[in-house]
Amino acid sequence: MSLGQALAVLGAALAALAGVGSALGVGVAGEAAAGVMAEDPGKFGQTLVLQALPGTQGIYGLLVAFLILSKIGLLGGGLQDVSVYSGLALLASGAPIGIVGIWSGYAQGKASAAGIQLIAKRPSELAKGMIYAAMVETYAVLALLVSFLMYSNVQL
Amino acid sequence: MNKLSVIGLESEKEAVMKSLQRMGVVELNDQTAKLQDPEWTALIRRDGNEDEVSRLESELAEVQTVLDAIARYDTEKKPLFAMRKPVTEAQYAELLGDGEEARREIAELYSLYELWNEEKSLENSIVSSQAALMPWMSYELPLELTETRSVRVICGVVPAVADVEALRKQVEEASEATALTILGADAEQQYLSLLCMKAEEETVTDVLKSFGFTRMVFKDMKGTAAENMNRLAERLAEAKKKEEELEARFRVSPEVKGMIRAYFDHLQILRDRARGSERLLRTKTAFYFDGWVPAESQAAVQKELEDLGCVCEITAPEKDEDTPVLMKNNSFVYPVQSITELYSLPNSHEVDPTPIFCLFYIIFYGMMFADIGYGLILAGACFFAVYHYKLEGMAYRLVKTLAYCGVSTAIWGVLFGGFFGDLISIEPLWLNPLDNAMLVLAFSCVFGVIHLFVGMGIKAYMQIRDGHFFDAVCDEFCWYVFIIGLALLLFGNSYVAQGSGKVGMYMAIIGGVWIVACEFIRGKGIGKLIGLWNLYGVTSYLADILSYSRLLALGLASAVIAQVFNMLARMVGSAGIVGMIFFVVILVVGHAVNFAINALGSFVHASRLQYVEFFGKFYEGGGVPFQPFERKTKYIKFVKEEK
Repeated sequence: MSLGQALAVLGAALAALAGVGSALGVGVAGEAAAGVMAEDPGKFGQTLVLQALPGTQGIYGLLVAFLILSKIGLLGGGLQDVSVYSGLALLASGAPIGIVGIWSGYAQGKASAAGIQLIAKRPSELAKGMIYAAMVETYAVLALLVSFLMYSNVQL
Repeated sequence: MNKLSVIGLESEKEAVMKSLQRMGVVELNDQTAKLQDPEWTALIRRDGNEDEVSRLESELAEVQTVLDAIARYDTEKKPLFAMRKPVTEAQYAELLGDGEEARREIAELYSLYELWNEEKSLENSIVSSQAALMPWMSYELPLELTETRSVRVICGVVPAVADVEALRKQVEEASEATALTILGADAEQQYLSLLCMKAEEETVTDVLKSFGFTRMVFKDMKGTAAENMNRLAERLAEAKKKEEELEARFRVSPEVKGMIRAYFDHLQILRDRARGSERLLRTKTAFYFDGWVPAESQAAVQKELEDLGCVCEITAPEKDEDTPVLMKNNSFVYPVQSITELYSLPNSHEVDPTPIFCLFYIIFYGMMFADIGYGLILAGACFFAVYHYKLEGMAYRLVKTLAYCGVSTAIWGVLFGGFFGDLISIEPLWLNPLDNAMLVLAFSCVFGVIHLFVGMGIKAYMQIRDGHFFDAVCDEFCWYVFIIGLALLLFGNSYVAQGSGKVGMYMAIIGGVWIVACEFIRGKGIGKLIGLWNLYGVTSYLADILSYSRLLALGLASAVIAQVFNMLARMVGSAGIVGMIFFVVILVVGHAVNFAINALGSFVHASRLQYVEFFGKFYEGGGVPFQPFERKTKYIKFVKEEK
């Protein structure tokens, strides 16, 4: 394996780190959800929806990691030649979603947890709780977009 | 929505209330304000029938208990969603009869329920006595035996921490003729029995006390512990058998269940009517109420009331008066009202935005999900749920909206060429967003501009309607020119046509000057210069427009994740039979996860684009929903007579 390929793999690893944010976020939201469930077991569905929201950062990270790995042909054989500069560029393209994903996932988890507290008192306001959490996700979406645009314009 | 004021004769009140409730199109206003007005209080007092309400409430509680008991032992298959039974007026009358039969059934079932409750509490007390007796099973003397002629029999417990051997020693020191048996121990206590001479009882008990001994007295028990245990077990079995017999009688026929349910609704209707009369004002012989009626129903209401000998007056609301809000849309747009309702109802001075954003919502959702397979599943499942389970109310609207979104998803799937990702490979009808990301990004932003401009257009419409034409020009029209100008200036030459950049430049300059000039004309004092600051507002428009890039990003996410699962499945799929099994499992689980996450994500983000970007441009909301005085039922649904 050449240095360029190794750098590209590192980029994929960096992108997949977005899962750290999702894990933290889903965890925080899950704690809040369990607390609400203890009071009112009928809210399982609603709280689950809110808990699922911070899960997307991990998926975006997986997506970019997968794209990078398949671009250099690490998946399914046929590893391609990657120059050091292309490898560095792919490493850079993994960075936005990886780094933004960690913070936005955690922050979104906190917003979701607050949304769960909201529906504990006002079950009809589920939609608003979801929108508050989705406001945070915007930045993960933007980071995904940047990662994708960088990735798709890197020539091997 | 118009205001209705009615005066009628007390003797006709029942008939009036009944027919208003049946029509279900009038909201009765609360009259508390009038009751504090001395001019009114001299003449009238509040109507209302609290005794009747509380009597009906307690009867309802009883029926509810019976229905709960029936539901607990119901063997009939339960539908996924609760369905109300459609009945016509005639069927309803037939179902209920004079209510005598239903009342009899309910009384019988309720007394059965009380019997069952008694057995249940008996069962509980037996179980707890059994638990209390358990540690004494190895004690062989009859429990009621406390003494013989000269021997005292003592049973009792000491705490688990007490040293029983030391106890034994000290007891034997106090009196030789003693027999201490340790019957058992658990986490908290040790169970002891002791025989001693009556003459020495006092010294022995003193020793026992110092070890924290508590005497046990077995009340109402005869014979040994084991015998008592057997007896309890028999009684328990008996109680359980009785319970089962009673439970079997709760398995009533569907006809009886239907009748009791109809009766429940009947009581509810009566209770609501009794409660509704609290919103009436009365004198000795007449009553008064006012309320709101939708314009399209007012003629029918007026006729009905006048036939019953009432005097009514219908007036339009005053200019700034807030009225309750009832959204009225055609059957296609109606379900999407749910999206507006989730945010907030429009207030009574606004236009209902639903018909305007309805198509945008559906298009945006489809673009973010964009897959033929997912779209067909979503649309199929939702249409099935709507028509098979006969959903009503909010559930109906939301699910139907999702069904539309499913269709849109499938259409975007055709355009972008996705069928469970790349599982079934088809040529995109338009383009593949993975290869043409920049183009789709631009397209998303154009969509955004159109969406925002429509939102601003509604604001402009409302301003012009209210006579603020100049504000509409300043707040919206000059921005139209400015934003289109900027867009042409930046992208015109390369994407639209050679030379359009120049046009854009002039448009942007005109728009910009206009924005500054507006405030110069409109503002006062230092406010005249605020136009310069307003120009900075272009950043917020930029942020709003770029927010629509999520249309591309989420579309990519759902497509690529689907491809990831397809690829993983194919990697194992080549390894024989086991491989095939894993192939199927990965595909099913993977696509199910992707479907769930992205169906939810698309819903949330499509809603966000409406709520934050679109509504942010014009919408106030905060309307109070129209709540007519009507027959609210839980189990039956009134339908029109079939002809």
